[in-house]
Amino acid sequence: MVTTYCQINQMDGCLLEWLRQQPLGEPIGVVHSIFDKVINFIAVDGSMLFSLAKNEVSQSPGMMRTLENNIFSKMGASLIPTKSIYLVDKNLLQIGNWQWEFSNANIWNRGLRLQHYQTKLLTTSSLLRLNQFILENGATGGMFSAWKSVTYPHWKLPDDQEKNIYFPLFKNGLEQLKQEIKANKLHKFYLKFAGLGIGLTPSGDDFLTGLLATWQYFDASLYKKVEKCNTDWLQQLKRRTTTISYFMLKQCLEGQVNEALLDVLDNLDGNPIPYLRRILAIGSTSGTDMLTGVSFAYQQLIDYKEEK
Amino acid sequence: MAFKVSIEHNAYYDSVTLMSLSSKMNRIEGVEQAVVSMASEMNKELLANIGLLTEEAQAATANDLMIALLTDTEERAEEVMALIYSELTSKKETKGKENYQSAKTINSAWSLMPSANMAIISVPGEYAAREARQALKKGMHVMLFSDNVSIEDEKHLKEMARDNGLFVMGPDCGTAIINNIGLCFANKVSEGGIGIVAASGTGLQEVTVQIDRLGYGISQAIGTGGRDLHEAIGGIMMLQGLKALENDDKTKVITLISKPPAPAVQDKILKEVKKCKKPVVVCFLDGDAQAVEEAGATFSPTLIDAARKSVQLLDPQAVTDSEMTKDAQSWLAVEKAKLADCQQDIRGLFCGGTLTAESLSIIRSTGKDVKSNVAKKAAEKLSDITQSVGHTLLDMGDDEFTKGKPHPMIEPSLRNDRIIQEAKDPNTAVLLVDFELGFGAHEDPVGVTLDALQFAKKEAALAGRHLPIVAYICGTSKDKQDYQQQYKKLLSVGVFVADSNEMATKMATMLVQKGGY
Repeated sequence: MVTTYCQINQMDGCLLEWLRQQPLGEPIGVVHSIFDKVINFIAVDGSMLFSLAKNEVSQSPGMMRTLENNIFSKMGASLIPTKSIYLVDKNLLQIGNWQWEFSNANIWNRGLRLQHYQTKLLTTSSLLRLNQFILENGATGGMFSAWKSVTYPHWKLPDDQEKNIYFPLFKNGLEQLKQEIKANKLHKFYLKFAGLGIGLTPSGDDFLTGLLATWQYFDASLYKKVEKCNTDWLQQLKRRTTTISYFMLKQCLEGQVNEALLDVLDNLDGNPIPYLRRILAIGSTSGTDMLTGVSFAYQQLIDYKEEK
Repeated sequence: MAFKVSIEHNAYYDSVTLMSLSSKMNRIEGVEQAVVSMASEMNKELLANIGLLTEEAQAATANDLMIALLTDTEERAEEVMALIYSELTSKKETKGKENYQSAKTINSAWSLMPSANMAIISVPGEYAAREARQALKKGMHVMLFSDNVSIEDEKHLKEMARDNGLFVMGPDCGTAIINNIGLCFANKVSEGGIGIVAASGTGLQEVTVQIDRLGYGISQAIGTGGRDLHEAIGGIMMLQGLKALENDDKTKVITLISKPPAPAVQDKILKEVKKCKKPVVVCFLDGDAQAVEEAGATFSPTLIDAARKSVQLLDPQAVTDSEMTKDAQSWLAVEKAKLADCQQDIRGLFCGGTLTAESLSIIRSTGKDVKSNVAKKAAEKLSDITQSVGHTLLDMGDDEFTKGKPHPMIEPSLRNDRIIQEAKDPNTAVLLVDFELGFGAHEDPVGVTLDALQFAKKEAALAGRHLPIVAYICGTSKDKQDYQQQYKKLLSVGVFVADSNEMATKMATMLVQKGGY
């Protein structure tokens, strides 16, 4: 069979560091799942999830991206889960008959910048603009109804949402979380959300990602309270949610989230609309679910600051 | 009430599929509850709450897909479960269809379809000539999309084709329309009486698009590749094309488009034009109008002018208005008033090569100094392509920008960083951009650029400047990208969309014109 050579044009810096430690010529991982725009791989020892994606996908931790859409689709259509991926040279990966070269790839090194939230303005107007955007553009299948119901208590759940079996659990989760923040009991709140909802990254996990990323981004003391529990959380999360979602939350707790979410956080006090639009393109409801997490976390930061 | 639960181990479907499937099933009459989700602990608890957690579901892991149904009857549960599996399977089958029959060589491709009479070749340049030769030997015309073919190979291939009554369109031929079928980067245009031979890709696109917009159509549009009018090649394919169109009953008017040819080649072409019995329009950008007219042809200095004159020759009653609209005039007046003193320069960021050349020619004709990465004149050549100087036009599809990357017509977002860079430059008075629609082009070229355009305006505003943007969309209402949607997207962020590349360039020029216009 003829080998096809392809270029990777962007790669997450942490993934590159990890690849540098992998042995040459041996399998470093296997195909975990294959989608139209993303192929996920899991490391041989299960410690890392990494991915190859088309360039149009928002850059995420552990992701490498390519502009070679046709080759990507062709390879994706021929792969099956468990197919091995090899590092065959310092800058060359091989999957079946496809070799992916990354010596000229741009290295992506963005993370949640740790800065004290007093240096970054927390304003009610920014929150209102974010909420208005979610109300007008958000996908309604995941956290949306519960978030709306808690944020706007007079809102009545529409009839067509009555069959939404996730709604009461999400709503109760949000209401309890508000109480737990007030009572300073934040060691177990994630259990109400982790793994709950449809999809490979269930809505509850996307919400948690938005929430934890926002608290980290603003270096909030609320996050410092949950940070202590990270190791225990990760142990439990592994059993409670999907592999892809577990790694998304793990990376978030390590300070890494996707570029679309970073852009939203960077621009909340400016003009966030283009970035908000871009994040909505993630998954079916994932983008909206993350934004509900950002909104909820931001609201709590404002309330917490006012109470102080 | 009846219930049914099924588990698919290690089944991965994207959230869009699962979410739409879930809501679709919940809308079916008689379905009390349909859950299609991963078997995470929380989702299993949820299932337990509604009494659907079977032993099998209990044992499933978070990487398994769980399908649970609560319906009014057993039959309904069976039916809906079958429907869910059929939708999930059809999704997989659709993916599998990407494995269409393929061949590794021209010979094996030909044996799969012996009736084929044209080969489109897009392989690395070093192999392209060999493949083209094979195709010619099989009696096929060749469209050679590949570049980096040596000029010696090109000459040999074209001579071989001519001697056998065949065409070699290319190398580096991006566009052709043969028997109303668009090849590579062509637009969907109406069929009609105008036949075109053009060296270049976007030049040919622009003329065919403008003819279509005027309500007329194309018989054939033959690409020759950018070097056909070089002295070494001698215009073999342009002459071949001219002859073919003269003999084509459907073609009533012939239009030739190119950057200026070598003088000896121009003489050869015009000699044949003089003999031609059909009316001919010649658009050689920066070309010799007198020589063309002496050959009895009609000269056009710009692409849109070539389209208009071709239409007028076909139908003298045709209305081909070239006046600037009132909307354009008032937009110009408003935007110009908002410019700061430091904003003096036009910055053109193009995906189309010939559109860049056309804009260069138009701006130069107004007496302005202009630089470009594709300028032929040494004084106009941009020395550092990463930095614009004064009025600058960049062909972002040129080799310097596309090494190891797709052409910006395929991936226009590659231009986005440069859009922001130009917006940050206090000397930038206006951004001039093009978008190409049609076969082969990006599905949503404006969509992937929109954020960058908004961001560019925002960056300029933060620095206390107003940044006008003029765009041109080279496409027809029949193109798959939906011209109107592309147009509306640009309008929504305050971009002015001109009717032609010529008009866009003129508007940009007027914006930087001192005093009135």
